[in-house]
Amino acid sequence: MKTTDENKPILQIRNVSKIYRGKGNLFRSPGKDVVALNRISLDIFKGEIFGLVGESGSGKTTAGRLVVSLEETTSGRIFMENREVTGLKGRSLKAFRRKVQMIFQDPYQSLNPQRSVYDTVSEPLKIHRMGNASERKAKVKEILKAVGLSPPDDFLFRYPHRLSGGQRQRVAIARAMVLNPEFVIADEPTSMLDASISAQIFNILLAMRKDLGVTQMFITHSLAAARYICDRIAVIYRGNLMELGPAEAVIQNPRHPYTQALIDAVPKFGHAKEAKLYGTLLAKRREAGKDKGCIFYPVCAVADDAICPRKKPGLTPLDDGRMVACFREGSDPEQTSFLPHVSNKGV
Amino acid sequence: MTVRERFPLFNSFLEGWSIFKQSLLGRIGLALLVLFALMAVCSYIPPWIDPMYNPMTGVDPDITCCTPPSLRHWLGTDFMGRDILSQLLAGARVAFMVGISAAVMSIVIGVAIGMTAGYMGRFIDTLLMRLADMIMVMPTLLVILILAAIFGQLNIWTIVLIIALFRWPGVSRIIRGQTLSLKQRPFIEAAKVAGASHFRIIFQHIMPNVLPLAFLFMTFRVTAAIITEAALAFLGFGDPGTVSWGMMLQWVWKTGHMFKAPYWLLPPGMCISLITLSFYMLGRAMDEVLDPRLRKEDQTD
Amino acid sequence: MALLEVQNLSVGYNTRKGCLKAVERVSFVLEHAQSLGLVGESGCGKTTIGMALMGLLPPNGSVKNGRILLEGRNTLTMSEEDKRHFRWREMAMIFQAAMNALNPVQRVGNQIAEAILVHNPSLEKEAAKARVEELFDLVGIPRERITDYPHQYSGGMKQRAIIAMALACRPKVIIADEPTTALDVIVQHQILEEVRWLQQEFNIGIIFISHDISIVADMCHDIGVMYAGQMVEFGPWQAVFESPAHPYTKALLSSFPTLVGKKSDLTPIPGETPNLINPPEGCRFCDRCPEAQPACRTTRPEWVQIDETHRALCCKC
Repeated sequence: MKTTDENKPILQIRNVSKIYRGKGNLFRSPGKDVVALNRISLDIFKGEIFGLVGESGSGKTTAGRLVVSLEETTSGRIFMENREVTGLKGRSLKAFRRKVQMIFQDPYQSLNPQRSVYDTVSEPLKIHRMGNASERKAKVKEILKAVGLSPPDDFLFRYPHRLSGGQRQRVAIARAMVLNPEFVIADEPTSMLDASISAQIFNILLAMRKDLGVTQMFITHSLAAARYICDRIAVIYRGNLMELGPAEAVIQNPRHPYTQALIDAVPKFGHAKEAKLYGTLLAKRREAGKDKGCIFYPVCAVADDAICPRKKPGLTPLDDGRMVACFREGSDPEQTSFLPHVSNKGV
Repeated sequence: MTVRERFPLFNSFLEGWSIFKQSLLGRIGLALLVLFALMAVCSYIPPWIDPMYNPMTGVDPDITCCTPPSLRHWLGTDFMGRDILSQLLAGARVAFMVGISAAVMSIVIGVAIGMTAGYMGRFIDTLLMRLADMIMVMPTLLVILILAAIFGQLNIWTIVLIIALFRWPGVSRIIRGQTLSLKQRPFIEAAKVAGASHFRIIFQHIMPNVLPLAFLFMTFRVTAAIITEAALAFLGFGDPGTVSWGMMLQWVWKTGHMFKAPYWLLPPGMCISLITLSFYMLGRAMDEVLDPRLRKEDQTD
Repeated sequence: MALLEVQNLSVGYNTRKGCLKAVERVSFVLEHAQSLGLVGESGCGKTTIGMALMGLLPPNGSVKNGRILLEGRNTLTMSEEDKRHFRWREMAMIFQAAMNALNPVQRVGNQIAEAILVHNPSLEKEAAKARVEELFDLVGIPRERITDYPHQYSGGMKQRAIIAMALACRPKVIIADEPTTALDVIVQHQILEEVRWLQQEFNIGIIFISHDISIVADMCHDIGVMYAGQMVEFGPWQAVFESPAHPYTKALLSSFPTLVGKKSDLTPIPGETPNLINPPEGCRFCDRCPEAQPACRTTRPEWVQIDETHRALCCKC
């Protein structure tokens, strides 16, 4: 395991919330607000692959979209190398785009069907006016080779409908990597792909980190995938961070009841009965304690009725370098972050 | 690398053609259109043989009234002794000119406005779409008649321009809808993350994806433009310096030959019906070509 | 007599580019109250087998060869009338896209009651209603949700409703085609537990189709591994997963990240699956196979019996 403590954080998220306002209209009273992210704070260090693990609707994709400025935060700030990136506009936004890229979930949707591989991969270079035509072509070929599309000449002028799912995702990775970004967000890049192809994509992402030193945020619903490629992972449940720590530690010895329930639920190659069961999930939901309590309380089997429905546990560091938001592990109520304050250096 | 891989348009044309070929409707439509195109090209021949075959000004000195088909005038002559066949050929040329230029113009306006409204959204969207609604509910023919009444005789290009200006809202509505759905697609977001400007996203990413649809609508717009022009000419508001099929019908009617000279009435009437029908059939066949369900099979190469 | 026996089943789809051989010469036997897993990657023909068993192939697909014997009766040669009878009453299917399998404008309870009444016309309406309530109890949906519309259900509840519908006519065989693909792990776990319990309770034979080997290993007694339209390995799950014989099974297992045991490097399978309109002459896996020899390319592999119950389609085994 890498020791990331000496490293500088490259991305710092501080108290970020995203609330989708429910729209009311003439016939419907104002809709409910949906809290996609609730005061999230985390640091991602240079050179690591950070996993954000959660079920559908947990806000993990929203987190990625906020970081690349595809959406605006409702409150809170995001810093990239000590510079605030929330609310960037115009030229400074474009400069930021050069450093942070994204790989999307569905390779069948994320490539323009009317554009060839060359058009797609060279586009970021054209947008940022990098190199002349022949330099760009050489760069595109180089990156295609790096993602395993070789010989590149076979692929340059192919259109997406003539590529398999795995090849499309490689093209999408090539597009994200062609600018030599410092930070890449991979949003469930393999959820549409078969297992054998997924493994190819995982290995490419690992190689990108090794060869290009790209820091990555890997968003996934699969703990097993996160275990394979991530150094540290954060488990997110309905917009709240539940547990954050070194990948192997979180998976082998989960401390938050939600993480334990997740690990219980994963099929284990016919060893379900022998595998350790934490049994932290209630069969039936219980009444929630208004908006105040722990978000996991309604389904938590080990909750303390005295405190859990009333106060919200903060993400608190434990002695083994991880953070957990659960009163059983001694979390402080209402303390949202133990991370240092970031001062904005300006752009 | 083959030619097919190098030139995407050529490639998708070939693919489209292989589906188009299977449609009987499309084949008939295309054959008819080729026939009309030949007529339009041939329209230059008669006046070149003899000035009396000039569709507008040429008069057979021996004939002063309407005559049935003969060896000298294959489709007969009109009341002034002008050759009907050369008028018919010239009419094909005008029909193509009016139909295609009005359609191209309305498609260009419609696509530009539809994409802008769909992509920009909010205020601009509302503004442009209300404008489209206003124009859409105006009766085109009536407005042109009023304009003609105010400004006197209209030039053929003015007519084309007016048709185009009144026919874009339908196109822009459809293109706007398509743009709205494209805007949500991840490849547009990917372009945004790469740093692409709005201009680039609209013209490099959205436009290539809406053009096939726009092209399809063009065939239907051609039909509408030809019919509008014919109706105008028949009502006597056409360009008096041009021979169009609608104009011919007006002459038949005005000189009272409606039921007396079928050889004069039928050719332009049938030509109008057939050319609109053939563009319509072409459009229907192209509709099939663009149908994603038929395209899907090609994806498993 | 075996509950379900599939012999040499071949299915093809007619496409504009020729006949796509989606399934070729697949044979397996499902015993009463047993579960059999079909596992493979997309396009390997596993869903096609399910559709062929139910007699629900799309118009351009047809069974080219082989027999499907349900308790000794060939379902392929049945009359339309008999087919309608056996479908749902003897063999039911839980579809892949469960979210779309429910009619959005009809109450869930009514849809299930209707399915019961269509197949048991003699039944009273009241009896059907009681049966629906019983089914809801079985799959663990509260009774008060019977009169809800599908959009009021969560993903997991829709899946439970679909299972209830499959159970409605007490079939002997249920084909579950990726029943939990769209669900989160915790819900998936609950649904799978439910299916396992129901199977034991009612002695149903289950054919479990999935791309996820870990689920199949958890759920099934026998496993058939599919690749490019062929079954390449068949046997009890311990044998298939703990001592895999076919190189494809080995490769598939080593490309799958796991949570248990030591963290090891994944070795992806290089290359892509072959085109099934013109499949390779010899072994279909040889282009991607680390153990391939020149002979694999030209000779069609034969089944090799590794032990009594475990076999593989590979000339190297």
